[in-house]
Amino acid sequence: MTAQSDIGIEKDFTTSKAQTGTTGFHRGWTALVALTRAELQETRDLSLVGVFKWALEPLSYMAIYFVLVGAILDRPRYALPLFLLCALVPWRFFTGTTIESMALLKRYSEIIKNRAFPREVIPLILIASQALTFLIALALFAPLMIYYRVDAWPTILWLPVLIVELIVLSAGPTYLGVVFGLYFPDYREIVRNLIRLGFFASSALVPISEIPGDNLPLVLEANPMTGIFDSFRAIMLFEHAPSFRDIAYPSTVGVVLLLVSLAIYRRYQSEFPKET
Amino acid sequence: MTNALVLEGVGVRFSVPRHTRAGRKPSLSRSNRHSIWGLKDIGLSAARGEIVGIIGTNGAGKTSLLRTVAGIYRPDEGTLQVTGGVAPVLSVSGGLKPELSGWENVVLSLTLMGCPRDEARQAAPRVAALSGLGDFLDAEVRVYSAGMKTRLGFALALLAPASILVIDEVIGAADHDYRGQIDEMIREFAGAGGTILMASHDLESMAHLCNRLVELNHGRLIAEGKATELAEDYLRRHSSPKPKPQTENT
Repeated sequence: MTAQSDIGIEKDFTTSKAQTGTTGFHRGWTALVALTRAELQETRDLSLVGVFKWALEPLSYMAIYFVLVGAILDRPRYALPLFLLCALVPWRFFTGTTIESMALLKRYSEIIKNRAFPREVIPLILIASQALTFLIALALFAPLMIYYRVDAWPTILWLPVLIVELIVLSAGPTYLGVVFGLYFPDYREIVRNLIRLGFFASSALVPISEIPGDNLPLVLEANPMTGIFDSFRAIMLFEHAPSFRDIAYPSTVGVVLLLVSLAIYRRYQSEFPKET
Repeated sequence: MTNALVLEGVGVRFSVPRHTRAGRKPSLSRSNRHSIWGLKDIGLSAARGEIVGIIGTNGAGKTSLLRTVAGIYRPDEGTLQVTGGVAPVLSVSGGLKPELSGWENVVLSLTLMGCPRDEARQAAPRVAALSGLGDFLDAEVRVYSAGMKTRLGFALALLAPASILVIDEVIGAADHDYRGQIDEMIREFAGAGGTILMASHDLESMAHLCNRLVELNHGRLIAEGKATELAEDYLRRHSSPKPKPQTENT
């Protein structure tokens, strides 16, 4: 049945590609791509100047920690900027997804209350858009690796493994953060600070081998981000493959966290349009 | 006539946090929340080409019913069968991202309503024509007036690959001329075999436009009938009594 009106409505309901005609996966994928594009258009300046600005952020953090670790704490080491960047770049991705996730439903409330799409994709919007920033930030390693004459071949082949591991480790807290931010908005700042504590309670600034005491190194090693940072250092600085523990431990923690978080998220996702 | 949508015993529950003297107690725990049925035992069907109006007082469940049909709320009980896609126009800025331009919102909204991205981009000039927004589509939606957002939202719903249109009380934001156009477009949509479910407090317009009205009260469907008859009956029941003329004491 087709109709063409004077004002331009044209409908062919017999061939209408309705939501019901596509698979759940296809709908989810289409929604994810559309919403990620919108997220990038809304929050990122995709011009050259914009990309330069993204690069400046981790570099500015690197400068702060370079002064803190190298001068104030008096722990200078070979290739300190590269050593710090191996922690700062993955950490920026982790916090960009987990901390931002707590405000995500509020930012998308208009879409959630007015459009039907698979709610599982909401945290993935953040993960996908932050992943783009992360991939661009990886370019910052190149000049430092050239300067310090790091020969990363063939260990650089581990990089995709580390990226997947980092995404899996961040995905669980991101899904959980979405639910937490909705039901406990007053606690967002506390959680934000606790997540930030995770940076200092790791090998981000000083290697575990240089941490004094018996128990403190164990605590820092229990932080799965330590494994991620050390793995990045292994391939980007020390020219060897990551250790089995540094790959296996964060991956296991990440998968367990993701499964638990997904179960919690799925339980509450149908409430999102009512609660936002 | 073929039914485009059928609801049987549909109920939608809201879990509301309890308020204490100290204020709202944020919690996921069921003991700190209580359930309210926004919709209860709704049985309703709408045929292709039919315009069904939903009336009722504030809080009667009109918006909840439209959101349920649109797939935004999931029924907690009962069954909902929808044949074809549903395009919702549920609030003035419904589904629009304020920081994106009108064009970017066209592509985003149409894609989320099931339109392939290439087709969504090609539809942009038609959105401009239907909404009458022209060059304003280059501007960010946050600078739009309520009427402009309504125009954009309505044009998007009409161009979405959907055979069911659900419209909440948003048309009121449009100017007089555009309201006339909206009425005409709704009729044409129905004439082409589309189904429309709309809620409004403008009973005169509803009686004029709809084939049938249903009345909700406290989440339940309490009356159903021909549009003109139910509108008259509703007005009779809900019109406030005229103040009695004051008699002068002599």
